[in-house]
Amino acid sequence: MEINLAVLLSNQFRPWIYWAVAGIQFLGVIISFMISYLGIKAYKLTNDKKYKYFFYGFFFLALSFLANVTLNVLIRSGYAKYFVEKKYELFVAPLFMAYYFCLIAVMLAYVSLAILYTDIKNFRKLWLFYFWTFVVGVYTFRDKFMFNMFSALLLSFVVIHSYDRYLEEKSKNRLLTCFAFLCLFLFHLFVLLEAVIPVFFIVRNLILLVGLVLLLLTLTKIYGRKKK
Amino acid sequence: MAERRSKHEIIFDILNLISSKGGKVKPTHILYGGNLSHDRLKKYLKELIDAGFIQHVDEKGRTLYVLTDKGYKFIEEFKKIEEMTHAFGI
Repeated sequence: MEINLAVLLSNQFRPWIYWAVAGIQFLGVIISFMISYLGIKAYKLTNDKKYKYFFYGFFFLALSFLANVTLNVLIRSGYAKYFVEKKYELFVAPLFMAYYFCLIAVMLAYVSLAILYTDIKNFRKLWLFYFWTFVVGVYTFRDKFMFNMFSALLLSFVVIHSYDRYLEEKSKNRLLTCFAFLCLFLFHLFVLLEAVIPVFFIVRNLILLVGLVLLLLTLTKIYGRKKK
Repeated sequence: MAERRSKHEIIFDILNLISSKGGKVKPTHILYGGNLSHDRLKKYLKELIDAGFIQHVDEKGRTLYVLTDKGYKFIEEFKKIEEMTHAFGI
């Protein structure tokens, strides 16, 4: 089985950079889980379906970050390379599974957010959207560029709509979330530049970090609201 | 034209109104402040009592509605959700 695990196994940069990336992804796990928790709480309290898609979006994003961190740690700590070299299929298979899972979870996360922001209510259209995203997710696992471009495409809907919502009511919080989604969008888009200029791997992850920090700021404003 | 309030927004408005009056109000206060018809108010008050958000008490021959801890908690949770809804523009 030849997939992009070879890319993950490469050591283009110093090891601490990869560990730092794993750290950023771990931050992504925490933030996404916290936001998804708010989403499910809102859904339970109001029964409004929009919160269900909001929950799905951030929950799948959290799972994909989690799969990514696990892979990164296994690879950077040398376990993955050892298993691949020794051809221990039993251990290698879960690595591939985690990789596929990560890709599909990212797609499902973005399509849930795109559904939420584009306000699709028709049941058939909705499942068609999920179905094709799943298919694209499955078939783009060999192609890093296609996968990232499709992710960027889905996120572009989210960015435009969240910017429209910001224009409807100009508030700092809405601007923060709009920029956070823009950062996620650029994170996927800049994979094109990474192919030409490898240092964009670092730039992309720094952009992801900025996006996550913006989401964290929004979260602290929500949780830190003073009781009246 | 003002948007129609959802059921949960009406519940929040009623509970918030009781909270702003010190946690204890007469039904007429809720009727005027909640902007509801008498029949709808009765329905909502029954629902709120059943859910444990408010209690019905008799004080010196007057009927009063008292906000419970569960009611205060609902207000806090709802405010957080409103904040999130607003921040994410959903």
